[in-house]
Amino acid sequence: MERVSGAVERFDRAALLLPHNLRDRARELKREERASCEEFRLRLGYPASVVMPEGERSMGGDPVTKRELGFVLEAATGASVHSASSRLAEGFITAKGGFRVGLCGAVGLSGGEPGGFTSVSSAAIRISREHKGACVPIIDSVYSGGEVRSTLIISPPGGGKTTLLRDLVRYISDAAGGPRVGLCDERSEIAAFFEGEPTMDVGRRTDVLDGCPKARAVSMLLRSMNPGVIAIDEITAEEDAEAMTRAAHCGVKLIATAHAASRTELAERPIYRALLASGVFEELIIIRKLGGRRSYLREAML
Amino acid sequence: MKTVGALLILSAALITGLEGLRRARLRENTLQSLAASFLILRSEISSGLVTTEEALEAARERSGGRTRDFYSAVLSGMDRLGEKTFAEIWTEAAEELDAVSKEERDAVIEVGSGLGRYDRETVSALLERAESRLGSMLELLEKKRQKEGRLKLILPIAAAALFIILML
Repeated sequence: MERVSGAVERFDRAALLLPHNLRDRARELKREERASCEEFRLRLGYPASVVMPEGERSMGGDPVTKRELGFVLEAATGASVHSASSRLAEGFITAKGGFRVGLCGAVGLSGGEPGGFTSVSSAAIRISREHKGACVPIIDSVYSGGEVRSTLIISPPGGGKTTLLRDLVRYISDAAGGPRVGLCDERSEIAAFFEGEPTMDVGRRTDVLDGCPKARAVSMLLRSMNPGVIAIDEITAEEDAEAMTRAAHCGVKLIATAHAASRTELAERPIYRALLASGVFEELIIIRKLGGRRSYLREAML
Repeated sequence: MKTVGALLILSAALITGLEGLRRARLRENTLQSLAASFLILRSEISSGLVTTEEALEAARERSGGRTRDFYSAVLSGMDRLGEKTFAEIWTEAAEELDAVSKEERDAVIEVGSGLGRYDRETVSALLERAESRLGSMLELLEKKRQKEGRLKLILPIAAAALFIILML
C-alpha cells in the first residue's frame, strides 16, 4: 500500500512537468494506473500518451502544440535551457525529482557535432521510481558476509535494471562495514542529479560521477576515490567493457547492467562476448517481467 | 492669516516641485540599476554553468531599491514555475515596477520572453539588446532632466507665487 502511494506521488510529481491541460488529464487516470505508469509521451500534432506496463496508450484531448513542448522544456530545465545545453546535446535532461526527459526534434550542429535542439517535436518523461527493497530477492547472490560478488544484471528495456542497480548500490553502501561504492551515472538515471545534487538515495558510502562518459568515469573513480565496488548502468560501448575489465584487474568488484533478455542473447553481441570471456563477472541476474510482475533468475558465471 | 496661507501655498508648490524631481531621479536610478542588473545576468549566464535562478539571485544581491524588489518578486515566483511560465512570472514582477514608464517596463518584460528558454548566446544577445535599450532611454532622461530639471522645480513655485499675488 505504501509502495503504491509512493508510486502515485512520483507520478504526480512527474506530471508537474506537463502543461496544465495535460496535467489535469494525467490526474484523471485511476490510482492504480498512476502507480504503474512508466512514461509520458508528447509528440507534436498528436494527443499525448502514457506508457503503461502493457504498452503505450493515448491520453486523448487536443494534439500537442509547440508551445506545450516548450513548456515541458522550461519546466524540466527550471527555466535554464542555457545551463542544460550540454545535456540537451545528448538528447535528454534530468528534471527536478530525478525525472529523465528525453527529447527529439531538429538538431543544430556545432562543429559537426549535435549542439542542441533548434526545435523540439517529441518529449518522453520517464517516471523513475526509487524502490527501496527491490534488491532483497537477489541480495544474497550479490552481497553476503561482507563480500560483494561482481554481478551483471540483464533484462530487455523497461525491465527494471536501473531500479535494481540503484537499490543494490544503496544496500551495499549502507551495509555495516560495507565497501565504498563508486557510481558511474553518465545519464543521471541512478542518483538522478539535479543542479548538482543527487535526488535519489544511493547510500552513504557512494561516490557519484554524474554525466561523465562511463569509461572515463571508471578510470577517474579508480584514481580518485579508491572504491571497493564500481557500479555502471548499461554497458553499451567497447571502451566501457575494457574499462571494467581493467578495474576488475585492480581488484575492484563490479555491478553493471546490460540490455539483453538472456545469456544466449548476451553472448551473441561482440562487446558482451568479450566481457563474458574475460571472466570479470561472477553472477548473472536475469530480470523477467510477466503480467507486470518481476522475477529474478540467477546464474553463476564462473 | 494671509501670510500663513501664502506660505502654505508656496510650501505645497515647493513640495510638488521637489517630489517631481525625486520621481525623476528615482526613475533614472531604477533604469540605471536595471541595465546594470542585465549586465550581471549576462555575465553569469554566459558561463553556461549558472542556472537562471542562480543568476537572478546574483542580480538581486548586487542591486538595490526597486530593482532588488523586482528580482525578489521574480525569485519568489520561481516556486510557481510549472503552474506558470517563466515569462508570466517575470512579467508579473515587472508590472510592479512603478518607478518607470510603460515603454521602459515593456523593455524589461521583453527580456522575460527569452530568458531561460534559449541557449546562452541567444539569451546573452537578448540581455545585451535590453541593456542598450535601457541605456538609450536613460540617456534621453538625463538630457531631459538637464534641460527641464530646474523648470520642474521653479514652475510650481512660480505658479503658486502668481496665484498668491492674484489672490492678494
